[in-house]
Amino acid sequence: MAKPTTFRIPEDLLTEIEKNIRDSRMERSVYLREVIRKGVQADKEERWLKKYSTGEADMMDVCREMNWVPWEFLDQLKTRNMHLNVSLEDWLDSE
Amino acid sequence: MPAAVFDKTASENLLDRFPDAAVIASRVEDGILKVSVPAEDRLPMPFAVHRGEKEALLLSLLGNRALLATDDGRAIKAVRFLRIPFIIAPKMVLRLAAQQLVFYSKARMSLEKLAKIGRYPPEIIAEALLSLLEVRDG
Repeated sequence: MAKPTTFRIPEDLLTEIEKNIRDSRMERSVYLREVIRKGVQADKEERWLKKYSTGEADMMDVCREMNWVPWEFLDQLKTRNMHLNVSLEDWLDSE
Repeated sequence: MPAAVFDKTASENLLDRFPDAAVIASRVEDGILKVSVPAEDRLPMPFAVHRGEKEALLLSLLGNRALLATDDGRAIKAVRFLRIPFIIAPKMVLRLAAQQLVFYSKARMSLEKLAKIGRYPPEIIAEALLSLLEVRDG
């Protein structure tokens, strides 16, 4: 069930929101819910991929959290111009 | 190939969406790749790994420390701890070229794909391309 919440936003952002609501012809609350949902998802992807790049998480941690399969994970790395967490030392030590 | 890895990369529900999944599944069907579940399930290691990595590590240990292929930095830390020999994809390409099992042009193209699609770091691909040139020039 949807719960009410309140927060303050800067005037320029509010103006942009009002403009987008008019453009999209969506109901204000529907539009805001959708934008927040997309933003939360994008933020989650960014945070988990950052954890991957810093070694806090591995590929399967990210796949589990984002509900991706490894192929989607590689696509996401490509989209963001990121790389596997394999190091030059790993190349040198590899058989 | 560990069963858990096969499930994550080439199970039936992935075949329509991901061409590489279909390639792996077809190699398994042709008997070129074998899917196995290790007989043991206890890993002599003080830190946790995912099921696919755990199965791969166990299969290697049970196979008298058989060479383990991986592209994951954390899995490589685990193989180092367990003193299991490992190989990453660019090194496989290089070894195949050195043994003249693939032509130079094919090996080079594979390394380029590992950079663009496989997302290998540029410094590794640069090293691999240099090593490939050395292989070609003897």
